[in-house]
Amino acid sequence: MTETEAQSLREDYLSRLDGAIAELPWRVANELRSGIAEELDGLDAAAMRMRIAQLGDPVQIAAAAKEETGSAPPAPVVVVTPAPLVKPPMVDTKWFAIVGALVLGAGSFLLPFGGWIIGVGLVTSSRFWRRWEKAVAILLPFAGWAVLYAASLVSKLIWVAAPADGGAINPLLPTAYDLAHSSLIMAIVLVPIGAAWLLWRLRGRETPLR
Amino acid sequence: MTADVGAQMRKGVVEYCVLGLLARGPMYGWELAERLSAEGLIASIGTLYPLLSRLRQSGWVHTFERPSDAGPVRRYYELTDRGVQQLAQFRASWTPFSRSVAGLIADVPPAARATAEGEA
Repeated sequence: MTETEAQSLREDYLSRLDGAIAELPWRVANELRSGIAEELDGLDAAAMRMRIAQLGDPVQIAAAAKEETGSAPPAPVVVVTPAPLVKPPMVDTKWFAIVGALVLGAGSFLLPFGGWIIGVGLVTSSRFWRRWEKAVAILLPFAGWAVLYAASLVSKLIWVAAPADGGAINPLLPTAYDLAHSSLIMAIVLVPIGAAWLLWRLRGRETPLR
Repeated sequence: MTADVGAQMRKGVVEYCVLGLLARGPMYGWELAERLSAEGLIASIGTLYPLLSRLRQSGWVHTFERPSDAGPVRRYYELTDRGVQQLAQFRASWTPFSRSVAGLIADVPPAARATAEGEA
């Protein structure tokens, strides 16, 4: 008897609910109907009455659903905008720096002097090195040349002074002429060494320094 | 006007409150309705189901059926990965937002107000 009464209360309530939600969008109506129907499953008459009282008037439920369906905009989607993918300028790429160092080191062998000038241009344009690093690599050949050239001048003075003193010239010592040429060769050798040092300094740097 | 402010605020956050509840574990409709009603976030179970329907359509929750302790099979709502993501993003936005609003609308002590007016 209680079970029959509970079933009757359930059917009556759901019937009223069906009438009230008839104008709702089918998706909402279906979700609402099945959600409430499952709440009324398996209850005895007393529990059914209590639950129906908690649920409230089907007309009011439908009105609330209609208001929510009609007025509520979809939940604002929280969008985390990824940082725009900005392609870095060519001079700010690592490969540009590598090419610059290679041209600086080997450019002169392909295009005498001009290749080195181009390499200097590329290296100074890149932001993958600090200023002092660029300065060291570019000026290293000049420094080497200057040191040896200064040595040749000193040697020349010794060479000129030696006969005046009546002493013999030691053939094992390089003459000023030798040292002047050696300084040029040293400068040429130091060019790729400076470039190699720049490449070594590039390790671990994936982005421009400033 | 005051009532509208409350309703507008609830509408803005209630869906994320549902996501927050579901983050603790799957819940069925009646459970959700009871929690949200107790917090004053929904007035009727009629408000809840359209909201759940939207969350499902957005792919933030999905449903599955499981027999309840009382016997009948219930439809449970559970967060999807997208729902978890959305909730995390909302949390990150909500905390500074609520702090800013609280700071702006904080009551100014009369003494401070009088000082400010005096300086003006």
